[in-house]
Amino acid sequence: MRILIVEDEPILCKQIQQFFAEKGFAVDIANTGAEGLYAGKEYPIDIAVIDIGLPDFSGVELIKKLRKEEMAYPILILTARSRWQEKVAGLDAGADDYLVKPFHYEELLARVNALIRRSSGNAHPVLTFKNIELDSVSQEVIVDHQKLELTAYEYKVLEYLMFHQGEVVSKGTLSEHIYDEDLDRDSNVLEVFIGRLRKKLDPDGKTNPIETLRGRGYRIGG
Amino acid sequence: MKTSALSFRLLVAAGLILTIAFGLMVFILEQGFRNSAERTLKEKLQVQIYALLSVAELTRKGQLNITANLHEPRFASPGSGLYAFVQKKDGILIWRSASALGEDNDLIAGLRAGESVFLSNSNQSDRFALQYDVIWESDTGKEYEFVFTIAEEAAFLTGQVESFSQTLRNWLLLVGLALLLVQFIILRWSLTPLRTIGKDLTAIELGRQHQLQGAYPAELQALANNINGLISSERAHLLRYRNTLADLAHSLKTPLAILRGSLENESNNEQLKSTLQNQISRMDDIVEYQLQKAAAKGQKQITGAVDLVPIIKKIVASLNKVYVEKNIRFSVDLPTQYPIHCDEGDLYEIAGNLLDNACKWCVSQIKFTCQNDRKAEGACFIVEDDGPGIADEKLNEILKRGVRADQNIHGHGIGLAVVNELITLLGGRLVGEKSSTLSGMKWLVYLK
Repeated sequence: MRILIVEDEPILCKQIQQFFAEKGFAVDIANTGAEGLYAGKEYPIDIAVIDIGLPDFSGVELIKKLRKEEMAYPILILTARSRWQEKVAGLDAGADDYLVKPFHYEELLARVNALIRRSSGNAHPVLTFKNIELDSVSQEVIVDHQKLELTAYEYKVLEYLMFHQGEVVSKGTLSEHIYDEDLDRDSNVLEVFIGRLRKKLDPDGKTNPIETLRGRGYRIGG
Repeated sequence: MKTSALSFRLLVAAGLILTIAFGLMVFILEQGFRNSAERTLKEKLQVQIYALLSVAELTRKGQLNITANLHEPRFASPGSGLYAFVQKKDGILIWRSASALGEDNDLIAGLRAGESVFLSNSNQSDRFALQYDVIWESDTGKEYEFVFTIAEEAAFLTGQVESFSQTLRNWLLLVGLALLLVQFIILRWSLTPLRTIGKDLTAIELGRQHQLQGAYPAELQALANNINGLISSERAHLLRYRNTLADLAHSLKTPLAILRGSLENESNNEQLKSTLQNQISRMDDIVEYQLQKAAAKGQKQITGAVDLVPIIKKIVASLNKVYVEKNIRFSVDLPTQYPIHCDEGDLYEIAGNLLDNACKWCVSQIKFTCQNDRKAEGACFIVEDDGPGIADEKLNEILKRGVRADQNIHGHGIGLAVVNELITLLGGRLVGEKSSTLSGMKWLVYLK
């Protein structure tokens, strides 16, 4: 999942970036409203976390501008101001949730995951397909009631495909959403991840959960 | 100029209006007097024409003789300014009065028999004149046409008009000055209460008095009451800020002492981490609570009431977003308008915290209603949920500062404590009881 963090305090921004990177997110950061607007419009963002107090224009203004540009991904407001009038103004501008500073990182992660789930139409944190269960909160994958050990990138690929069940996801889209920067399109890294995932998810080759659609991409659940 | 700016402005405005009004009055009266004088002169000249006609006699040869002296003695005196002429139609002079010796008289072209025309001095002439064209029939039946003219020097009438104008202007100037003086005295007298308020405010600034205490006229009493309300509210704010700051500083010292003690004495890293997390959470709650308390205006809106309806609609829309997964069924019964005299931010805080708490605790239902009968205790709105509710013995504890009912739900106690303090500051009342319809908690907010 690709997350955009718009926060003007460099230390906090770095901490949030590291936290989400460790949790397997592709992270883009912006320190001003203008940078946030550019990144929010130009990159294939899955979710944005926006601080209300930005140096050039307010986070509420940024949300309004992003919504005006028809950016529909979920947005979570981070705010040091906890008054209801300010929270309502942010939510009214187009944000989907808010979190007051200082926050617990686990709460931030839970809120972000909940928003991602909601935006992909999955209310429950555990995504299932055939014999595969993916818990987006604990980041555990269970196949046939057995816990599976996946690397961070393998998990990212599987999570993205599980969140977009039934959709054909191109290599380009997949690389954009799991890496901070675009991979070289000729690279076979993604194919390697997919190959490894297939072996781990379906060692006997019976269920074939990840389909390859030649020239188009990959799909879970046709 | 600063202190007398209002009276100065009123005086200048009144002076300007008076000048314009009197100027117009002078113009209109002068015109009226001039027209009236000219009309009178025309009538006088007409009478003289008839007098001249009465002493004129036509001979058989067609000659016109003035047979007797005219009654007006000014005709007999040369240079008197009143002249009489009798001329043939072609302008040949037949007769002129003794006063007109050496004077000429031009006839108006196009004057027809039986017509008379009055000439004013407006066209470079220095005379007013009345010319009358008469056809005279002799005994033989032959007709002869003559023009009779009576003229008067313009200087006489102009002098009369000027004299009138001068008198008029002098009097109006005098009346204007008198009116301005009266106006000034009235203004000074009328604005005395404002000056008194100014002096009282200065005394308040200097700390000699705490409120506006003078006896002000009814029109200013409301203003004085509002200023007194503002002063009291600002004083209460200042006191609250001071108390909040003191509370904040003091309440932070305990967790800080624990942290210092743990850093100096605790050797177990896990234990230290746990203590750090607990105390940081505690400090966060303290800061949050004190910040919310400090941000609350806690005063009644002087400028007017705030409508609760759009605020509730916005809060419910926001909470629907935040708690979308809980699938809460909001039953919101709102009138078209529900005005409450209180700061908008405070109203957001009260309703937002109560509805947010209801969202946290409810199973699936929340009810919001406004009480329409506002006579007894002013405005009243009610928030109910179908959650577990709060036991009576815990209720009083929750409404104390910063005490939380459930440590697992962040900010529960803080929100309610802030709501309770805010409502108290606004002179209202927060009542908590079991909801008879939803079986959960029911909060009743009374605001006067």
